[in-house]
Amino acid sequence: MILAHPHMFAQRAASVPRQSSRVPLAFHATSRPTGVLLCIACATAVVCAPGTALAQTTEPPLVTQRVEAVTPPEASGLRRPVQVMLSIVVDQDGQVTTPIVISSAGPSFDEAALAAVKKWQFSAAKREGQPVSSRIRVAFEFSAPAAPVLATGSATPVDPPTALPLGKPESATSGAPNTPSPTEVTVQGATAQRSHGASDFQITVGALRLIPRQNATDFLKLAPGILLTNEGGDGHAEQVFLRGFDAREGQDVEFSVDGIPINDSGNTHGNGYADTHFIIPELIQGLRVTEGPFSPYQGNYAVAGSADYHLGLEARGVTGKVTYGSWQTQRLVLTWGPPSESQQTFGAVEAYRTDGFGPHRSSRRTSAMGQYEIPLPSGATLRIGGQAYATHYESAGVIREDDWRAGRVGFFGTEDPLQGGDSSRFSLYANYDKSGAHSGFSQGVYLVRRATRNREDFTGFLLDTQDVLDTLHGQRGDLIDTSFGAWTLGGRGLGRVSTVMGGLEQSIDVGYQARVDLTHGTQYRDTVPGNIPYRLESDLDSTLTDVGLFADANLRPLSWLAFRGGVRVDSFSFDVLNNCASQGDFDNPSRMRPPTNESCHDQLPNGAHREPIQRSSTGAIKVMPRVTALVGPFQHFNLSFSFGEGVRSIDPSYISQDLDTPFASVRAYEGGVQYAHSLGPVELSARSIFFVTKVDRDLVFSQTAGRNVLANGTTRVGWAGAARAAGSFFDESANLTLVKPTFDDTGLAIPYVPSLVFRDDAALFRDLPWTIGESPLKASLAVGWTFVGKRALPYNEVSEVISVIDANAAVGWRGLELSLAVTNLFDTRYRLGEYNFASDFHSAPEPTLVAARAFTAGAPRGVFLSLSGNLGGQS
Amino acid sequence: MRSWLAWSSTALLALIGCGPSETGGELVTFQPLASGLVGVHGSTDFDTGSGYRVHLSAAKLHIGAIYLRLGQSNPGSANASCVGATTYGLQVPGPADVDVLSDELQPFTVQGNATSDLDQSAEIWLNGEQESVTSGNGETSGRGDINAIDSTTIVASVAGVARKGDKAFPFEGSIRIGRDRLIPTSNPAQPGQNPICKLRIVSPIPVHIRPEAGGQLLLRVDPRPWLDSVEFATLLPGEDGTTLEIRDVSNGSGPDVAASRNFFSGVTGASADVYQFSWFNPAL
Repeated sequence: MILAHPHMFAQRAASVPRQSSRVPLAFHATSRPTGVLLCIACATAVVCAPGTALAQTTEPPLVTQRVEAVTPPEASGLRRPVQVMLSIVVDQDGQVTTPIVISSAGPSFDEAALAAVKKWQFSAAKREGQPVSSRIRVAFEFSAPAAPVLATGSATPVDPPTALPLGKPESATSGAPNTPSPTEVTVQGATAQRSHGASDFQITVGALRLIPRQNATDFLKLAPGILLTNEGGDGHAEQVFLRGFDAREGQDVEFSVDGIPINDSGNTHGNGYADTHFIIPELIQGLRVTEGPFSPYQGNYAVAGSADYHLGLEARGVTGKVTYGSWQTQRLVLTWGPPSESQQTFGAVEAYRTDGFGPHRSSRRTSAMGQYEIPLPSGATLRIGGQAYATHYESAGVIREDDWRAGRVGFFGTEDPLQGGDSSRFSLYANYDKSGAHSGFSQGVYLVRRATRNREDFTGFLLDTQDVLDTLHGQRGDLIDTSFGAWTLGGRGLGRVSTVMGGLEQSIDVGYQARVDLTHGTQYRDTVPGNIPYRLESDLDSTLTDVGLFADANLRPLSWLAFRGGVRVDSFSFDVLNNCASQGDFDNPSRMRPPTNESCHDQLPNGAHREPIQRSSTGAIKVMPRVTALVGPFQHFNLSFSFGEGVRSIDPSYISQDLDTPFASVRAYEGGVQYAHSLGPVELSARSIFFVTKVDRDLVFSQTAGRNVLANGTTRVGWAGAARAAGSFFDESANLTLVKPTFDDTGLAIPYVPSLVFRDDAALFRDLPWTIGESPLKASLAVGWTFVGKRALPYNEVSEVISVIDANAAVGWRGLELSLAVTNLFDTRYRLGEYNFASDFHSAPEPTLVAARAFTAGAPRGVFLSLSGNLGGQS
Repeated sequence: MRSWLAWSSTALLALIGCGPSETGGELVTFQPLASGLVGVHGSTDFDTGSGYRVHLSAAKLHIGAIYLRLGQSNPGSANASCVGATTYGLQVPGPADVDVLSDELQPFTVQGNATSDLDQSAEIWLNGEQESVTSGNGETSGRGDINAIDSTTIVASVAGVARKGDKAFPFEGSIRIGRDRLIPTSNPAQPGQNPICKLRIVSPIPVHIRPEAGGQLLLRVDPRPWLDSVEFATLLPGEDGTTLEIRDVSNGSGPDVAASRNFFSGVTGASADVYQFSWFNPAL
């Protein structure tokens, strides 16, 4: 499964003239009632408001001070004008950084242009009222000196400050140099993508980065309805609850990073297991969370939705950050962004270790990521990159409530100290993008190597039953030891064409996403103690392919009406070699060759021989319509109605020969209203969504299997709301989700899933009135609050609520910053995950075989001090 | 727009009112109790199927644990496993030494817990306490293990006088379930054919119990059938030379072995006449 989101175009749009899509930006969007609709016309536009489908809340940078270039002496020999095209980044303070020459007219002309543009001043681009850095192109035209030349360094303020007339050169003054003619603007830090309804959240992290976040998965909380838990340890992927789905570690959420898939197809621990810990949080500029399967770009695992991380590095130069805090936690991050390159060119390394907040909770990891964006002629770009990641971690696992209450195990203790795991990920990728005013093209390839090992024990000494073929034994332990290794090769491509009909732009994207996974997975049961495998439960070699084709149209019959979407077709094929196919598949073995405790027997009933292996293959095609209607005849408001079908490929362990439908399907419906408006310097956006989702074969957690297993059909009905307000010194985001998930056959609630999730992220930031060496001190304060209502548990039990506040305070001066982060500020003792199932950890005189409460502990208060410094960023 | 907002607000309020929904059933914690049945009838004298009139002066049962299964067990199952991992609806995971001649309600040493599902068969575990087990965190406890081969715990004991005609047979007897009772496998290809846990679990005892909050589990034990097939005349004197002994053996030779086996069968036979489970609510 491969993602090819529209930002494959958007990210390099700065280099592509696209006049028809530029003009309607911020200049009209908030100025008249129908202006919001113009964003539909610019659905292919580089910038579309992150918080809304139709409304514009993005403003390009404004020139406040302009300095003309000094014509070099060589201009006297010019017989015709020459042009130097520069690409510059306007940072959040309006300063020009990282100017690079896109089109050269010779060294002397280039130097003159560069010297001039560095003196320009801007009012920074804004997204939802918040200053963000942006890239623009500036052209300097030189001709023979027939007009006076401005002195070097002389400034020519623009009065009044105006936006650059994008796409249309300013009227050239006679003589040289001519007035610069800036071209296209891309607001960076958020992918410019076509919205597919109210549940399509294109989130700019921005100042909300200030809120303490443990890892990349934590950024998901910026979208509504997200609860993250983790019973498996620091290096174990978070369990994601999204809109009433228990998506486990990604089995129901399609994860990707800049379009490259993260989900592990065929992972023994869970098909679709998605570990985002390799992503260095400092590189996350934005993410797109689509809750529901409403975009044709969404592929396999997009049942509850999808999340695509957008990486970039705003800080140029070398930035180092050192963190030390509770539980001997130490973290070092180094980032490097060549000043002359775009934010999509970066390198970063991270080293992390911690003892954890209780016994058997230590972890350590290292991660490295690098990407280079190469501007090519004709406005195309080539991005190449790679990453490496490895971690080793311990896990405390679940704790029985009665054991904790009786003092047999500490709240942060463990029932089985043998739990933990390892994980590694290495990848290489390349992506080529090119587009013109009415067409675009993108092609990418990637190669990923994954390896994971997870050791989890939910049940203790419960499942090791005595078989007549086994030598006599007691309970040896239920530790599940899963290993997984995979090579993933994938490609993705996208073509876009647009035209103007009825005075409105119509466009269509056609693309593909293809991947093949060559996987090997095993699952053992290990003794406790000893950690010695005594049974091989699964040993699969799989070749899994997924070829997805999609068409995504943007049709606008009226200026206030747009239909977006189309169809997606995914073709899956499964070739699974089960190396342990005959386990327990007999009842009367040969006296001559007793199988005793062996796994993977080679006998059939009555001693007949069989090979212990068996190959199964099957395939299927799934056609999934996905459409959204956007209606916006109201000032600052628009409505959206969406329908979509999604798919999750089946776990290879369930594959049998010619299995008819190797996947589960989801149907989702929703209606939403979105609001976006500027009130002076404050940008407001909000949305309200009602949704219904039906899954024909859902996955429900099984503690005995240690993962989700197939269950019956389910339905989720709910409401989600989100709002964000951002100004020059604050950024506030809040969301609330209410959902009722039920089984179709019984009408009973799906256990473990939260029905109420609230999240608030707030950040204050501004310069202090004090200066050191003429540079002001800066300060920020950020708070994140998560509130999760009671969750239904089996047997009508309910969990406790979760209410946790994280905070961060920081002071900065120039490139230095000192910050203090406190997680779980009020040291709330809470249960992150709560369960209700049978387990036996030898905590009672006799086996405990009846369902009982268990939990995974949430972290207590942690205090972390960080110091960061930047060098060379302005060179 | 106003109507849209009004509709939204109404639906939102409706959703908020839902909260966590029913998932079915409930968990129940209770105090398990046991008592004898004989005293209830006011007499400890009874007639056996072998023609004896027996007067019991002592009868005790050491129960290791009690488990109730959700479904009906198949007594003819060839499954060697003693524990069906996820099929239990009630448990009393701790011991009780029950004077089965007393009609007093005798509590177990641990609380029981259950789900509110319908239980249809019961297991009484007659395992001991002396065996040590090393748990996951390396600690060793004096915890019983249904699969431990060796055991010194006396799980059942009786004493009394049996009469037939004008002859009196003072007797006593006890049962341990350990290595000497292991049944050798008849098929070397099936070394796990006869696990000792099968001998220690009295099962399946038919029940029809749906636990509910506030209630208690009561096990009444009637020891009279334990001795129903014991031929007291074949017993041999014990160490004191006067009292006859129901020997704690299952194998070997001698005229009294059959009596010993019959006593063992009487104790471990899954009969609702011997072991009666009920659920009662003391508040009602």
